[in-house]
Amino acid sequence: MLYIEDLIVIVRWLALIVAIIDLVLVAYILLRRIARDRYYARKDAAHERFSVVVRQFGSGVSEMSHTVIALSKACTPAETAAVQELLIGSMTVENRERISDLLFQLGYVQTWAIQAFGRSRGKELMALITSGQPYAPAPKSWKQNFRKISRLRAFAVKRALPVAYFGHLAPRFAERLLAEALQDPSPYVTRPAVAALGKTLSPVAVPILLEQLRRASKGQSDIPVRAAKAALVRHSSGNLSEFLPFLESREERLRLLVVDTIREMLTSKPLLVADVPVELYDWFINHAVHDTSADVRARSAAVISRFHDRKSIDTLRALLCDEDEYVRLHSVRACADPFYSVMVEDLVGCMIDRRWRVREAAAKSLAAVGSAGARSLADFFLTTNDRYASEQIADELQRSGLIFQLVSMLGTSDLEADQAAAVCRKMAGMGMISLFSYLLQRDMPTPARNELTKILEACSAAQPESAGQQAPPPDDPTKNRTAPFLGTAVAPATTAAGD
Amino acid sequence: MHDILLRVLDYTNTVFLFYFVAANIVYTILMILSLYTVSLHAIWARHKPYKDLADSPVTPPVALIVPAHNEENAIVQTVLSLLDLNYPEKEILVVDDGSTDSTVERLIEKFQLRPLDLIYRESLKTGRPKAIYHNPEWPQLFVLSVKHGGKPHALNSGINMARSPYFCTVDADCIIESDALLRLMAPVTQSTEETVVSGGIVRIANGCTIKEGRITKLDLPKTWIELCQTVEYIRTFLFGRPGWSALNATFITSGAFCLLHKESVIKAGGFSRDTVTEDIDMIASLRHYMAAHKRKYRIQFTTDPICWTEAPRTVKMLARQRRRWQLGLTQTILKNQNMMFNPKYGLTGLLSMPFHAYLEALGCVVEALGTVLIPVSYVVGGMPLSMFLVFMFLAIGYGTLLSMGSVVLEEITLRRYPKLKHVMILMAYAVLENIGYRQMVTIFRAQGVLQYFAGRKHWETVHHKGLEVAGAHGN
Repeated sequence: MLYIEDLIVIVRWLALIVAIIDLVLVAYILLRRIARDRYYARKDAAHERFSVVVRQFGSGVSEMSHTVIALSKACTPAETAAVQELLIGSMTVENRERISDLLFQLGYVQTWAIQAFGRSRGKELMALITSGQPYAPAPKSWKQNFRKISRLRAFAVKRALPVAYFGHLAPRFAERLLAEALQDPSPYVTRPAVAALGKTLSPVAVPILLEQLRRASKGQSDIPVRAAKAALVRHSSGNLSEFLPFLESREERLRLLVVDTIREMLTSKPLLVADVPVELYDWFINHAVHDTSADVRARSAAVISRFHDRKSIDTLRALLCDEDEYVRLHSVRACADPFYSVMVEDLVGCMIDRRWRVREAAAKSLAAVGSAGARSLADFFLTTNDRYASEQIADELQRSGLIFQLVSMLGTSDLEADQAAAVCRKMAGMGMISLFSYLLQRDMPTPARNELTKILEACSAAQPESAGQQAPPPDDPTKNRTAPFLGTAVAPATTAAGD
Repeated sequence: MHDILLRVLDYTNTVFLFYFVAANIVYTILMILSLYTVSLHAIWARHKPYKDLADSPVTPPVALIVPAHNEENAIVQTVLSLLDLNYPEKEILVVDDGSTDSTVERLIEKFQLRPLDLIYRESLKTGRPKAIYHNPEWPQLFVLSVKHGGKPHALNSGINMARSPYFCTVDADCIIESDALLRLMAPVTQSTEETVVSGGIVRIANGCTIKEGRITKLDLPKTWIELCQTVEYIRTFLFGRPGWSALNATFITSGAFCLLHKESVIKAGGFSRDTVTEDIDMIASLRHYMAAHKRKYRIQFTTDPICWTEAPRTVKMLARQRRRWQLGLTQTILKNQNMMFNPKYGLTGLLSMPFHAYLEALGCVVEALGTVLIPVSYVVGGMPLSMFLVFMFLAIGYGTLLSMGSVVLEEITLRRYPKLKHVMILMAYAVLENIGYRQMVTIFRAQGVLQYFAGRKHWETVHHKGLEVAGAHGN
């Protein structure tokens, strides 16, 4: 029976236990700090000691046998960590094979394999690598009954760490190890395995990754679609032929993901048209434009725009007229390339698209195709009566900084000074005077100042009935600077309607 | 009369005892869950999975939205820290919420911004900004000046201007670590489910030195109140939220640094002005929206994306801050009470909501009453010494264990404090904050709950002095 009087004893004991635990925690921190300081001191020393050896080996100066003997002296955890870091850090495309071989000979690859797959399987894989035999999945064993437990994060995280290292190794080593990692029941292991497959840059990895993408697209895998795409994008465009069977898939989502991956691959690296397989080129030029999925057609535009030839121009023209908003949007964006300056008229036509996203993209693309595009943008701005198109162009002129160039031309003998003045006049007429008012309060060349003043005065004289509409609230921080013209401007047209 | 008083005290003490025992059991379970999650995440993060995001074209662009109201002391450093973030594609949208100081002028001056008449489309109803400032030489940066309408309104204005599929809310007095946005995005890209929110942790920057938007010298603050808050933040963010995240039952993420999926937020109605803690309310709105549309989703909390913020330096400001947080939490819980014990919302409805309602929101009133009544009860003879000590142990002794544990977890996983001296000071304050500071904060929180029942709707302003900037003024 517990009496209330006994509580005092219990509390005393509990308080004592808490105090002891607190003291143990303090002691733990102290010891941990000391141990870490020692560890890093040793690691720094090892870095210094072995860096020359690693550098010489990496640059091909020293022999494998000498380097193995020299680096075998690293035996403490701090030293081996330092050597691993040095070797992985010094890897380049040229020396990857040699350094991978060195890591293998030093036994690091085996250690990682054992850590990731267990002692017996790790050694089996090492034997496969040594003998050059192809990868074979592990035969069924009693251990597979524990796959559900192996999935648990607590057990999987330690297996996942070495998998990240495999991605640095030459394909000869990495392929088998990563193929095994992909069989792991836990997503904490398979996800870094997919990322590592991307880093190997081995052509063998591409079909494996495409299969992962296919499974992810169907929701049959623990690998996120984005992870599979990110790994594929790292590979060179030389492997594009592997994508063809997937482009001909009947599943729209898979086709979309594959096209989007190709798009990312081509936009992140320089493309040699010679690298593009004829069948793939043919698919994009002749089939993509008729694909049943609007998303596929949309994403194809960016790929087609990378071909830079006559056929790509014709195909993009066809896509610009697509009935789907997103196809037109992506096609317009794809034309933001000086090569497509011949399509300026087509882009100008998109400035009156019924969707604002397309209009916005068209303005940006015109600004990006070079002087012809910028001139057409200005010409169209001056001639159009379409309010939304005008707003969009004015927005782009300001965002891109083109407006500053135009203002600097005012009052000069520049051939385009008249056009610049006309653009400024139209913007002022639309109520977009915030920038002009601001500039007038700053230092600017007298001719430009006079011209701008004239424009604003003419604008305010033409629309006296709108006086006060643009006046900022009393707490507007710009009110002092914009005072001379704010009272006479028209309402701003910058909240675009239209969808 | 004395007998009646003793009888009443006896009953109330029984309630307090049950409350303290229940609270400590729940906190212990959360602590174990958090320990598990945080430790594994620390091991997992060793191979730096987020690094691959930095050079991947597949990484989604992010808009960083910074609502700012009278933040002239901090805003430039915050923007510099955001410009310096290691992230492939980002836009920075500072929304000046009708400041009466020179918040906008400081930004105009530093970044040579010009007023532009840009298109502003309203996905969320906000009204047009008074002005939009931009400089094409800083293509990522836009400053919107809006009429004072509160933080939710400023955030909604930023969302309207944002072009990226994700946005990250950042408080104007925050310094974000260079890789923090990548770390915050990592759970989004690594999940097979749609991650609509990814929250990071907030640390106290008082005492640190800042230069060009980066913390150049990490140090602890000097005053007891700031040191207690430092320990408190570590405990809250390492022992608590990771536990709920492990159960996919996160109910609170700090709006000071939080990544959200823009389209989902717009469909959920944007940030609401119904409560003074729009960040918590947003989580509840998203959960409502996702549950109503039967969408699979995750709300993730991660412990390594770190944002440094300025904590109140005086008791008066601390009181205002805590009253506001508690008022907001109470408002949000009562606004969303239909989620409570509702299996439609998964563990959030079954566990997280009741926890936040009974222990976090209303529990502080019980705790505050206990803080006052238990000593009174002992003094008037209504409680034996042994019982009094039990209460003291539950209220103080066990608290030190939780706080010490969180400092140790910080040391094992994040190790942001470089000197041993820092950790020892934090451990000392892990004990000391339980004696006085915690009880004081509990009383402030209880006041917040009372403010709710008294019908208060708006928040009290917390003034910041600004962080210490190396060199001149840093602006």
